[in-house]
Order: sequence, then C-alpha cells, then structure tokens
Amino acid sequence: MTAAAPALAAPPLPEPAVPPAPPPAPPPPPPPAAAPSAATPGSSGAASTYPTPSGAISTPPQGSSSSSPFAPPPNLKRNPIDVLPGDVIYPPLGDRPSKPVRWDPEWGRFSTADWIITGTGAAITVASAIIPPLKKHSLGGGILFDDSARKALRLPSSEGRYVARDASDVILSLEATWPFFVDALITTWWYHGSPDAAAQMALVDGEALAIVTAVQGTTNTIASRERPYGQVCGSPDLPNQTNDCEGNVHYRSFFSGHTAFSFMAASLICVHHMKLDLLGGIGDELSCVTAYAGAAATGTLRVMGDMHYVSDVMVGAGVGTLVGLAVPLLHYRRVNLAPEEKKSAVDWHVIPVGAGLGVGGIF
Amino acid sequence: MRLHRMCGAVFTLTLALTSTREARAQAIPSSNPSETPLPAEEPKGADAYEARPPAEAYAMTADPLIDAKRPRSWNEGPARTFLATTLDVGWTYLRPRASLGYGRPFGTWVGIDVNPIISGSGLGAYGGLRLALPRFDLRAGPRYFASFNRDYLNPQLSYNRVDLDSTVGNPSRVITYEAEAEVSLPAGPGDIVALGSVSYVTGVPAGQLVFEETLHVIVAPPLVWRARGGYVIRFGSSRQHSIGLVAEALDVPKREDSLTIRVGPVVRIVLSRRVEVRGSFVPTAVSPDHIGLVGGDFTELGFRYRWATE
Repeated sequence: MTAAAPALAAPPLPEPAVPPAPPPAPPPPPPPAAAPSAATPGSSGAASTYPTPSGAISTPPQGSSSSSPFAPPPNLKRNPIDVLPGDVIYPPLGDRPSKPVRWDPEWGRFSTADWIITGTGAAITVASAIIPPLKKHSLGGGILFDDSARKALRLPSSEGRYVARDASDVILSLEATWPFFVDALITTWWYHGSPDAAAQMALVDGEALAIVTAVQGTTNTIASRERPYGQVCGSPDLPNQTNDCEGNVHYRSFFSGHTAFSFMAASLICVHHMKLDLLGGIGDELSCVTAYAGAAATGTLRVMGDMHYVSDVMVGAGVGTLVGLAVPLLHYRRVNLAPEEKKSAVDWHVIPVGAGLGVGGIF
Repeated sequence: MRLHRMCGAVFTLTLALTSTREARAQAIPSSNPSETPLPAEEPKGADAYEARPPAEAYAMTADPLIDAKRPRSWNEGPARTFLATTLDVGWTYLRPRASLGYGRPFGTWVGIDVNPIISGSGLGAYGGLRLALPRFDLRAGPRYFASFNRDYLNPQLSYNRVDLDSTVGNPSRVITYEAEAEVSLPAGPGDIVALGSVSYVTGVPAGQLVFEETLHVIVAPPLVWRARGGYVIRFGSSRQHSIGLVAEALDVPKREDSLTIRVGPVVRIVLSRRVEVRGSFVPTAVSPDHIGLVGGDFTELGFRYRWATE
C-alpha cells in the first residue's frame, strides 16, 4: 500500500536492500476467500516483494487482483474506517519517494467491538463532565508525601501559578494531539503516503483516549477530592466568588487528567514509533523519550500550579501509561493468521503421564 | 494612545488573510483564499483533467483510498448550487459549520454560512453572508454568545485571570456584528496574507465591559478592530500545504491603551480533498491585560474534515 507520487510512475518503488523472497519449501494452500493473507509469507511465488513493518519479506497473495507490490489487504473495503468514499488523496511529498507504512494484515484491525468501546468511553466521558462531583468528598487534603511535595513545588505567586497552568495546557494540547495529527496524519498518511495505516493508528489512539477519559472522568466525579488550591479559597489571591472556588472544577483533583492524557499520548507515540518505524532509528527513540519528558513536565506543572497533589499526578501517570501501552499493543498482536498458521500455532498432544494421561502443547 | 490609533489605521487599511483564522473564531467560516488549494494555479473547467498527471502516473497507487480519477479540489467543475460542511476537531474543541451557496465549494462562491459555537465557556451561533473569490474573501454577519461562567466586567485599567473568573456579576450575553475581509498576494515561494475586521459588540450593560469569546479580548463596547498580516510558504505537489508566521493587532477604541498584539506560527497540511491538519499558536505579545492563554489565538493542532455536494 502506498500513495506514490507521479514521479514514481516509471520505476517501481525501489527496495534495493531487500533480497528477493525465497520460494517457500512446502507448496502453499490456496488462500481463503476473505482471509487477509496478503502478508502471509510464502503464499505464492510472485515476483514482487515488499517489506513488512518488522522487516520480513512478504509477497502478495496468489490471485490478488492488484498487480501492485504494495497491495492492500483484501478486506480493506469492509473496514469500518473506510469513511472517505469519494475522497481524493494528494500524493505524498512531491517526487520524493518514501517507504510506505504498512498495517500488517496479521494485526488486528479496528473492529466493531472497538467502536463500541470507544463510543461507550466517549459517552461516559460526557456524562461525567456534566454530573458534578459527589457531595461527599472521599479524599480531603494531602496523603502520604502530598503536603511536603506541595510545599516544595507550589509556586509562590498567583501569577506564577497561572503561568504554570497555561504551560501545562500547552504541553497537554500538543502531546494529546501529536499521536493523531502528527504521527498518524502527517507522518504516516502524508509523509509515508499510507492512509490506511494512518487511519488504523488514529482509531486506536481514539480508543485509548476514550478509555482514559472515561476512567478519569468517572474517578474524579466519585472521588470528589478537593484541589490543593481549595485551601486558599477566600484569600486575596483567590476570592471565594470565582469559578475555581465555586465551580465543579474545585472538587476534581483525583486523578490528574492532564497527566493521564499526556502519559497516554507518550505511550501511544512510543508504541507506534517502535512498531512501525515511523521515523527510523534514533528518530523513533527520540520521539519516545521526548514524549515522556513532556508528560512528566505536564504532571510537574500541575503541582506547581496548585491544581493537583503529587498523588493525583502519580495515579494519572500510571493509568495513562497503562492504557496507552495496552490498547495499541493489543492491536499489534498477530491475530489474523492464515488457517495453516492457526493450526500450527499450538500443536496439542495427549501424552501418558505416570499412570494417567496428560495434555501437552507445542507452541 | 495616539500611536495605537495610527497603527490601527495602517493595519485597517491593510487587507489581510490568514490560514488560521478558525483558530480564533468558531464563527468564521472555512473557505477563503488560503484554504483553497491554489486556486490561481489550478486548472479550471474542462482543462482541469487534462492538466493533471496522466492516470498512469498513479499506477503505483494501489491504496484503494486513492482515486486518481477524481478532481483533486473542490474548486473544480462548473459553478453550481451546493451545500457544504466543515468540521474542525482539536484539543478540546468541536466546530461544525454549514454553507449554502452558489459557485464552487470552498473556493469561488457566494452564499451563507451558519455555525453553532460550542465550548466549555458557553454556547452561541453565527450566521452571515459570504463572498469568496480566488485570493479574496469577504464575510459579514451577527454572532450570539451566551457565557456559562464569564460575567460582565466592571471598568478597570487592566484585568487578570481572577477578574475574568469572577462570579460576582451576571453571565454575559452578547451579539457581535462583524465584517471581515481577507486577501492573499503571491510573493516568492509563498503568499503575503492579510486580514482586516471590524466588530460591533452589543448587549453589554452601560458602563461595563465584556470578554469577547471569539476575539479573545476584553471589550468596552461597541467597536473592536483587528488586522492580521503575515507570510506563508507554500509547498507540496499542488502547493497545497503552507507554513508561515502571522502577526495581528486588535484595538478597542473605547478602552484606553488597549492595543493587543499577537504573533505566532501557522501551519496547514492538506492530506486530501476532505482532510487537513491545521495548527496555530499565536499567543499575546502585548496587552493591557494579564489573562494568559485565554487572551491568545490558541489552537495548536487540529483536524479539519470537509464535505460538499458534488
């Protein structure tokens, strides 16, 4: 799959470093009608080769209607992300070819179940934003080392705290949108000319975001923890008659949404870069490190701005990281295996064990 | 003060354009010279198809989402009556818009624009007339906004965040009548872009001020003027992408020393006829107030999806 520029018309996309695919030892069975087996190694002796994201060599399926060496998976048109009928896509960067990013057909594609999870998460998020925090506040004041950390990190001036809040907003805004707009749309779609992979990435990112926002919104509504600045409501710096002190935001401290979203985004950035080689080499590693550094800065600024306790930030970082790693990695699993691979994935045997029988499997 | 007024006059005479005005205004419709992928360079009518690379040139485009046989811009084909929609999504905003007009969608057309305004700070709507030509865009119409949590403000020389967040007064309800013109002029590898607008704010109790949610400035009614200028470099197979720097000035004649200046980068990557990625970060450099990001034209990264009847 690629979106080649006009200048690529004459020669096929060069992959000089990739040797020709060796013919498979056993004769392959005919591909199933609907199985997305385009990348199943050894499925035919076709001349064209192309690299998989992992660097392995695959060939298009025998009987594929497309003569392109970058044939898309045959099930693409049934995919729910095919939401652009009638759209026209610009070729990537002029006459400069770039290696396409390919969503391996063996990886799980965004499915109906994923849509349901995402939609449910979004609905819970909206509901938790409308419903005010519970009247009973489960957590009051700092716990563990919260108070000492607040004393050390909280900025002394009101002006400074607002600047810290703004800075955390800026970093969060960049960080949370980066996996969608930069990694998926700009880097994968535009730079690599791979809209299908970009769509899969963006949808997976959206699912992770929906889960984190739902968990965070529900938790802070139920926990109803007062923000640290609540201790100074009524002071000259922060009069009682302000949105901060009278509004719903006053009791939404646990846990930090800014931190959770930032760490989720950092985890998404890392997983996508590592699995898809979006920039290649050090570029991917730098993206990952920078993203986590930005997320850590966001959490720190929330404490400096007196919006959260350290415990809010740490839980947010944990939840964000967990979801941000788990959701994409679940999609990057090899699930769409060809029947022969599924059959051979685990070889079960009944074997004698002592006086009885046991069941063993060879993976 | 006199200097500010003079600056204002100069800026007002400078028609300007931007590729990022939606960053600051939900009410501002989508099509303008900067949003049309190079209308001046793009072939029109029957010649449009022949002028594009031959279909064979796209023989390698196996992705079924890529269709080389379709027009690559909304700004092709005959003039017609059309319905168009634009959806902007970012962190955290959602801005749907609808346009009904005659001409070529998002390019050369005349008609009406309507859009709801939905944000965390209030609800509103905009409706207005629109004339879009290659490299020139004009719109005019009223905008209503009802704030959830921002009140009318008592007169002060300067305001800070606490003033803006005060709940002492009544939440503001304003109608702003606005006219805006934009142009772009080719220069070197890109365009000089310019925009000028005049807003007339109503609904504010006598003797009070209000935070105008679209212009992001504290207004002593009724007038506000704004001018924006900048330069964007264009690139891409059809020069459809752009990146550049803009500066803008706003002034409220009824407020003493109220000049606000913002400066920042803007970027636009056009992925398809329907999908774009847009970014802007135009924070305040000079202002009588200290209201932080609230006073800036702050969108950062966003996604735009466009659709129109063929």
